[in-house]
Amino acid sequence: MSYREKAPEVRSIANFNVPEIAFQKSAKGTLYFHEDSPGIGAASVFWLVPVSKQSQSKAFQALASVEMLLSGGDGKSEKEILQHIEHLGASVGNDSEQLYARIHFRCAKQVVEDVFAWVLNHVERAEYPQEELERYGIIKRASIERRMQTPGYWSDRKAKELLYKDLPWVGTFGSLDDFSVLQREDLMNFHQKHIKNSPGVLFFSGDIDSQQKENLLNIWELYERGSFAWSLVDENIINASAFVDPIKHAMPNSSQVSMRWMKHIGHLEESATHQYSLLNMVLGGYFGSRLMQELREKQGLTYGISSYFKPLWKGRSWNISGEMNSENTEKALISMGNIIEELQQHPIPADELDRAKRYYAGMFRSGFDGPFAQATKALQTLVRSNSSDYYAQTLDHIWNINSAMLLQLAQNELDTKTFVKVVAGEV
Amino acid sequence: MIEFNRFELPNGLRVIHQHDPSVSTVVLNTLYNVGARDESPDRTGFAHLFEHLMFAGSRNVASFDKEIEQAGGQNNAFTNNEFTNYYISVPAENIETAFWLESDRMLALNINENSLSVQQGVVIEEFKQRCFNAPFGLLWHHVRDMLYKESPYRWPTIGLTFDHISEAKLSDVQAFYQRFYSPNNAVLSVVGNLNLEDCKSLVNKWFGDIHISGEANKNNYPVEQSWSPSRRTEEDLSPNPVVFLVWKGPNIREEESLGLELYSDVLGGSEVSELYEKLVKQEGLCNAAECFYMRGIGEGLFMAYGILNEGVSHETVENRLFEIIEESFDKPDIYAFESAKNKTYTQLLFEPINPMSRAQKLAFWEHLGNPEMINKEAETVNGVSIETAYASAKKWFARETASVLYYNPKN
Repeated sequence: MSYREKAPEVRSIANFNVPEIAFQKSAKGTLYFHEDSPGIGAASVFWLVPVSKQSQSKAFQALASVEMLLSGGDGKSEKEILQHIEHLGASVGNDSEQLYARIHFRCAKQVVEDVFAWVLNHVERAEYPQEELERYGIIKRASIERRMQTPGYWSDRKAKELLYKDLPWVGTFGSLDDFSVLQREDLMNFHQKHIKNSPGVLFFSGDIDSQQKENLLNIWELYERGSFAWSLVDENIINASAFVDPIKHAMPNSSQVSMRWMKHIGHLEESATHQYSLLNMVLGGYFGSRLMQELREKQGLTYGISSYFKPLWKGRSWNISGEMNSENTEKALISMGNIIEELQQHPIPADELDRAKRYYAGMFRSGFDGPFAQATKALQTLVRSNSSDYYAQTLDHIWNINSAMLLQLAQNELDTKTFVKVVAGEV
Repeated sequence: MIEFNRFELPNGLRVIHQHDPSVSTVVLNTLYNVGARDESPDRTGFAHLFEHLMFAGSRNVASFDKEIEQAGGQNNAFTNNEFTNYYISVPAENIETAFWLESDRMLALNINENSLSVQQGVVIEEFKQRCFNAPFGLLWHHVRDMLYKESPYRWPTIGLTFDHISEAKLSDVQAFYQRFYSPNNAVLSVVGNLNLEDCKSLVNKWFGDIHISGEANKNNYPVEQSWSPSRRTEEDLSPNPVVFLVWKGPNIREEESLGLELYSDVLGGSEVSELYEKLVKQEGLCNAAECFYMRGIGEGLFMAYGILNEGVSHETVENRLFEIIEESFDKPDIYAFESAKNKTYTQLLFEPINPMSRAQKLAFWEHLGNPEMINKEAETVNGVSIETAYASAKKWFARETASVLYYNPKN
């Protein structure tokens, strides 16, 4: 027998020395995370401001206020601000997430203080010139209109509109015409109230030494700050209705269907999140999942189908989505139903669960590799309000999950009537 | 400075090793010298379809993905016109699984009617998703068809039509495998927490006895040297009309191409560039405008485009695109050119930090015959003179040699 016929022995990932994700506070009370990776020459800085769509009084107000932070201020035009950032070799971005805004940049070690001082100064002194706002409206509108041509956009939107109709910051999308009624004063007011001098949390990673970290904190603290606190509204979603028939959204130019199921999952204890994660993995969370193996690798019905969670504030939505030919949709839905039913009726076989756990453990450990990994974990810790030993406990929790627990969970949560169902595209 | 080791097996497999004890994983990256350029015109999309079949199992491996997942790793692949690249990342303690899997599918792929039929379905769905259900989905079909008449670069990797994919036969797959999936036609890079001695031992054990099945690919990137500029109008899912200007240019192996890349970054690589500033901000003709230079192994390609605002004509934007490009030739922007170099320098600092991108870059440069380039890129960028870059742009991007593509909204 050739040595090739037998798979090499595979070792499972035992719990390892998970690096501590520790936030620190400066003498003036600024909350920050710092991980130094000497010698790489590359630096990354971002800061989180606890403001989002939840705080807006007009559609797109939060998005525009954050995305236009560098559109002009302190006597400089947008072009002058961005030109200087580029000349320093840096790339900068400002995102408006569902829970928070994040301003981030990457650059070479030797210019990190210069970039931070420049970016922060213009974020703090943003003036939102009227002509920039008008242009922003045109550009953004066109960009959203392009996204609206894809079936995936509509399946996601329709599902959220129904499931989260009582939670406007998730379930309301605004009309494209809302861009034309957005005024400079709206952005200035939002900036004044939520961004200017806002308490934020700083994340320094890459090649940033202690002295540089102190310098960066000093730059940040040139602006008077309060102390960091979330100001988010708890989602309180109770969906008593049963969702049986799929919502159909027809798109005349489409040659495929985007199929999406979505349900709300409320606040979970930390140990419970791992059970959900593992059940989701077996369902559609990785390539070896039942959905991918059955619908793609066995039947060839789709290029991709997956299940995943999207975090809200205390809870999350559970999504199953995929794109396929319209004549395959019925077949795919039947197969999906069978897969879910199977998960509710029979325990996951030991070898299948073992494989999912090993995969999970491998991904989990590699998630701590590299100079920027811990800052990402720190961000997640903060946003999800995880306990300090969340990561240290993760593998123990995962290894202790058994098939009976997941059977129970599937019976409780995978009732197909609790999922909003949408098919968008060629319907 | 990235220190690496290079060695070659008697069967022609070239290996690049780079030890990084700071990470918990090892990446095994295999680049095969075969891409869409090696397809026949009536079987386009085949190299990519074949890439899918490489995950369908091999002589000693029933399920490639399950074995990787069992080892706590992940894997994927991509295909372009010029090469096909497979990568596996596994926990260091399970690296032997990656060697077993990667070598077994080089040794003897398990090709059968069922896996071919399933993957044909998957790839056709991928084709529809990418090409028919998103704005600009067929852009590369249109652009390549305008630039090339004979060369296999005239079709994109996904293929000209999905009929070609559904018509592929098992015998085509077998012949393709025999012809191109041979150790002398591949580069293996091993990057991560594995020392050189162990790497050599594993490479010899798993790849040393694989026989050469075909000659190394000599298809030397057959890009047509001459072309006639053309014009075309198409319909697209983009709700706004678009004007694209396209030129051919030098490839990555030609020194001039780097200057053109920097030039294109200055002209239209960001929101402070001349194209954006004029077309979007000052004149309000477009809601997006940019340009880029693509440096392939065989082809170089420059594209400038503007997405039109309501009421603006294609002709107006076409003319302004040409004017802005022509005006740029004789007034090189020194400050912006330095910025482009600084941005590239920063990008080169970040790129190799991730073991996966390091492994892919090492394999790519070895494939081109000079892995040391991974340490010389910054210096090379620094050495490009602004005068040379702009002179090249003027030489290559003349109005009379441009191909022009108009998009109108569908229905």
